[in-house]
Amino acid sequence: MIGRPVGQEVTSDFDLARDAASGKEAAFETLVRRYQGAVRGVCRRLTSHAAEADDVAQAAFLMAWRKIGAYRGGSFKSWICTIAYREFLQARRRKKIEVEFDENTHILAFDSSAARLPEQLDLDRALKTLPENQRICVVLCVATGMSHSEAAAATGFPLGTVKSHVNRGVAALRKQLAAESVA
Amino acid sequence: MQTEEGYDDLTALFEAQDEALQNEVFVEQVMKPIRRRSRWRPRSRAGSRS
Repeated sequence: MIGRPVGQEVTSDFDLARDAASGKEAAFETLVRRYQGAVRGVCRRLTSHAAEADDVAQAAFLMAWRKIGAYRGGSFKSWICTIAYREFLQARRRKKIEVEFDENTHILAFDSSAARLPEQLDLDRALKTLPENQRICVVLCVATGMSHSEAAAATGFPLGTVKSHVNRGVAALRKQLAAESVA
Repeated sequence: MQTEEGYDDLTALFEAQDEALQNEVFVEQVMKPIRRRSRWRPRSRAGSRS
């Protein structure tokens, strides 16, 4: 963690979650601060739209606050990113419904110009070219550090499918990043 | 972390992006309704330690 004073004790995720479950908002706020980057990053990579992604990320944290009593230890990052993935699916379903009722709505109107850092562009561009399920598995396993088993549990994909998507996705990302660095 | 798969370098790139997303405004946006709405208070405790 950047900016932490030397020698200062860091409260574990488990202890923070336990305190949050007993109603201590400050403990949950520390978890939000600790994992906001990961959750917002996952949501941006899944939706490719910064404003929509932050709505999904906020919904994920609110759901996590409601469900914090269900956290039983293990990687908090995987736990909260699984919630974010499910919130993304719900938001996408809602969006599809809206699209069905509004013929003038542009489907998947991703805004690639939304506040992005220059160094993000190559990786983001490469990620966007992956087939959706491959991209989901790469985002969960490579970007958030979930195990293949955790990603399989989160997505409902068979374990072998997750492994295959990750291997192919990583190979495709490497190929594209190498091509862009040469160009 | 799936270090055996050999994509630590890509993970590091993603984590650098995530680090750049740190923003106190977002934290405040999340916490505001939590502080305001008591119906979102969790009902049970995490873990078994007391």
